[in-house]
Amino acid sequence: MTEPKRLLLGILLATGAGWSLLVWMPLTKLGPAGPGGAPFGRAAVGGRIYAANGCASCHTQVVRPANLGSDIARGWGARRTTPPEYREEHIVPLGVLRLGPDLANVGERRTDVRWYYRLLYDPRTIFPGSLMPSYRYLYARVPLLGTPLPDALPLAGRAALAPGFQVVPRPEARALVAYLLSLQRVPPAEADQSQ
Amino acid sequence: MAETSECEETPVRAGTRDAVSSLRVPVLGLVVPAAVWLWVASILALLGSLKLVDPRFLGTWGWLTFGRISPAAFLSFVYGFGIPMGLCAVLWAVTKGGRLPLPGGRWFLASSFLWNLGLWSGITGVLAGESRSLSWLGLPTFSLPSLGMAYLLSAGWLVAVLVRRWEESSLASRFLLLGLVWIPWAGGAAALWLHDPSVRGVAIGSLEWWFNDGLLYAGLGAFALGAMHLLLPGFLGRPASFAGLGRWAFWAWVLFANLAGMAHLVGGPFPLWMVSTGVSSRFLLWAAAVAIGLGFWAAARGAPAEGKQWDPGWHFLRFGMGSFLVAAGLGAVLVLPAWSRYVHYTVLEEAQLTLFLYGFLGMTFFALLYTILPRVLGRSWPSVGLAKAHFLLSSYGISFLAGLLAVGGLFQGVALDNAEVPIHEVILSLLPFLRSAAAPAMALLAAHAVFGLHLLWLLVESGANRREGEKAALPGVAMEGARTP
Ligand code: HEC
Repeated sequence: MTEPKRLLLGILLATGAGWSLLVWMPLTKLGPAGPGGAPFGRAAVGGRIYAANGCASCHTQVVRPANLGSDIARGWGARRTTPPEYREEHIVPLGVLRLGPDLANVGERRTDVRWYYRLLYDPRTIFPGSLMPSYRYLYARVPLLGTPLPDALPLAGRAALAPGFQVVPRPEARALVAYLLSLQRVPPAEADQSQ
Repeated sequence: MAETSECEETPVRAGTRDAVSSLRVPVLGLVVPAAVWLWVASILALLGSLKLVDPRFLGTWGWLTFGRISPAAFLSFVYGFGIPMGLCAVLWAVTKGGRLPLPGGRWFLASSFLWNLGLWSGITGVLAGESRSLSWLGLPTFSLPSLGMAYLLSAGWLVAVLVRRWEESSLASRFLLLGLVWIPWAGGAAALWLHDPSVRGVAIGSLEWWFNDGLLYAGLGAFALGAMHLLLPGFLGRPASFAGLGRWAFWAWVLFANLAGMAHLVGGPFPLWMVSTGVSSRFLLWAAAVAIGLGFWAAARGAPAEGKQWDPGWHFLRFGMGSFLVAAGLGAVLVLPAWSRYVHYTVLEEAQLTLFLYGFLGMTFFALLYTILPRVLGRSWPSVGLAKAHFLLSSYGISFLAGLLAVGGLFQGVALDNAEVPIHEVILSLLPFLRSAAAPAMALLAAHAVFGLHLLWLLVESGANRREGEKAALPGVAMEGARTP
């Protein structure tokens, strides 16, 4: 065999080794499916909104074990996350950087839909001076006819609108919040017991 | 400049001019758009860092939200600048430094056109909110066919020519071959699998990181190492030392670059054996990097002292190799569980990435450009001052950027590890570093602007030069690298 052929074969084999260890093995071997199956409906759409807007640039979705960080002590999860809890998801934003809290279980600790709407519209009304950007483009300003819509944001002070208008979440914001609420990672065994 | 000394070794022969001019179109087809992408990347990176100075900066326009521009900046650098520069290095290698003609130069133009078309649509797509947030796999689906076709068009051709003109036991050719074939193999496989609905769950995470580290080490890193080995004889008059060690390092590089990605997932939802494979692979990559570095510095030490003229190529190359060693070392040390506990998910990891991308890849590719463009265009760089300014701005910019992020990351990591410190205060302790990082980011943008201007000047001058040359029709007018005042 000539040298270039040997090299090409070697590179192909090494790439294949990486492939089978890091893609094929996890796909076929890592744990049984989690409870509840894949996210569907709004939550699934919301996962795509989460990815498209780069929330993962600042937020992770991994709870590390207690010996590898303060994740559990901070209340980001009761235990480390395990493979079955991600089993059915198509968007797996484990994340790269923590400029904000971990969101692996945020749906467990924050359960109020309106709180999320307010957070995404203007994070600084909830966390003054926060680094989190505001996502106003996920909201619509619509005329106020009679009583405000149930989802209209309570805006006051400098954020207040001209009279006759209200701000409501667009479908994207609703989907994103549905997704955030769905983020409750429970291992399969425990989910079985609680049923 | 070093070119002058090489000119003496390889006197301009009849036919060489044709060979060099057959490179002009393909090289410029790669370099000019790459310079534009470099600008795009630096502007996006600067906007991103300004958004961290004040999140209200530029308002709340979806297209410019932090989570979209920061991946867009990285993607434009890697796919807009890095990969075309890698192909440029291969072009230089297969024509033996412009001594052999390049068949099929027009295909490269077509390929470059398709590539840039795909990339513009891809980056626009990321900014428009079409990304799946998968790091280096984050370009939207609709941009992939064009990118894939473009890459196959030029890389398929280049592999064929590289193999036909194979140089036995040349390290440069080995690394370049690795870069050329790894990217389409792995990229194609990853893109196909990601679009298969049965692929889901944590496998997507490990797929993402297999590709991320592979692209950095086995793809672009291999291109840059190939370029380094290609350029070294021109600067020093001899190849890297310890060739046997170098070949060993190459094989280590091939294998472990494919396994290193798991190191990012320390503490993640993966079995221990996967994570420890990743961590040990990062260490073995570091060992290979040290072996390559030894070959480089040993050759450089034995070289004659620098001539009286300041050679930009050599300075960029040295800085690139320095960053390479530091980045590879950090890449290994930071993933050790004892460290990872503190520094994982902090900006210290961004510091390592900055060093690798801008310090190693960027600077090495600049060394390539400073060396080959004068020969391809038959005209030396018009201004030593501008080259110096480019070098100083980028070397200080990169060092300060990486330094600030590294120290900031340590503060962030120690504070994050203490559960008593609320997240808001963690970020407060990090903010001074993030805010000051906007200054080196600006220096980098200025450096790339200086480079762009210098390139433009060179192109304009060489265009004028060429017309004169054609009129006079004198052989040997375009003396390589010889600056006639
Ligand atoms: C620039 C970084 C950044 C980006 C991008 C970002 N966030 Fe945040 N986020 C933060 C910070 C910082 C906090 C913590 C607030 C504080 O204390 O300042 C936070 C807090 C949160 C919280 C509250 C968590 C808790 O436990 O209280 C949620 C939910 C959240 N972000 C969701 C999102 C979503 C959804 C996106 C994408 C649309 C996003 N974030 C994008 C920085 C960011």
